Amino acid sequence: MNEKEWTLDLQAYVDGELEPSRRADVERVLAGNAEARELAAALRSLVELVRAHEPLERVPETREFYWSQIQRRIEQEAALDARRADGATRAAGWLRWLVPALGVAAVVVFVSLNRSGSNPVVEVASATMDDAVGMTFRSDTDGVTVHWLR
Amino acid sequence: MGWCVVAAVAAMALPIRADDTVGKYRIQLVWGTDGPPSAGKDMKPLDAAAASRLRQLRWTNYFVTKTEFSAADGKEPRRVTLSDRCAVDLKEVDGGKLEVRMLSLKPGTEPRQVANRSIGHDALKKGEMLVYAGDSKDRWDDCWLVIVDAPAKTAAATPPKP
Repeated sequence: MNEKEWTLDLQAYVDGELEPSRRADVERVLAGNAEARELAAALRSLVELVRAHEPLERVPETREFYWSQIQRRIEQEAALDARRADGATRAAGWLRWLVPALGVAAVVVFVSLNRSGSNPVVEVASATMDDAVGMTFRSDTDGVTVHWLR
Repeated sequence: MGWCVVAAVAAMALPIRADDTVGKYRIQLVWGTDGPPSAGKDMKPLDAAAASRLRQLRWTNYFVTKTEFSAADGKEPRRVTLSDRCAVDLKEVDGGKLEVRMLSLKPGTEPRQVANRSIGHDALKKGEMLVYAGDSKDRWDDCWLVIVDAPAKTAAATPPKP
């Protein structure tokens, strides 16, 4: 076991989270190594220090009231999900023909726009293999076209 | 140095004249950051109108590190060097457009084109901005921008004094 693994194991041991199969190894090392015992003591002190001075978040409600509100919200969400699922089933029926219809409409619009000869504000003058534009953003409102280079 | 180069080549919004002469374009090298400008650097905040048009980008502050004015008449592209790392070539092309090539500069090597976009004169006259931008290589979380536009003819004819 290298030093890093040993340190991680020791930290887990101090936190009470080390698996039993490795706990015996750590305890054997601690029994025979004063430096390791000092490190373990320092880690325990640190843990206690943090726990003793950890700021507590207090809410104005009592514990019972606070958790009852959470329970009520969970139940409300569950009822809402049930209603959504029911609505989604009905919507699925409409989507079966709506999606293809919208696709056809989009193609018609695209073709008609191209035929009208509308010119984009900014064009690619010549895209070469060295073109480093990774993304282009256009704001009609602000009259800005940003080409972000990789 | 974290420079946000906003390459916006905005053809200047020139008033239409009978001979349709092309005026000057403004090219600004801009640094985008959420912090203050670097100490000791001569940088001015990007004018509020232009900065507000960059509101879709996430940076809070934009500082102009260099401003150049250039025409693009002639058959050959007009090169505008913005820093030791980047330059733009401006060229008028058929169809009433301005072609703006973004060039990467490295010592000892030929300038390399990294992007080439064109923008119509009509758009520039309406105040459109063409922007090239990218992440700063020198400062984490900053960006560079090169903004090209065509400000009002009177302003373009007399570049602001430093």
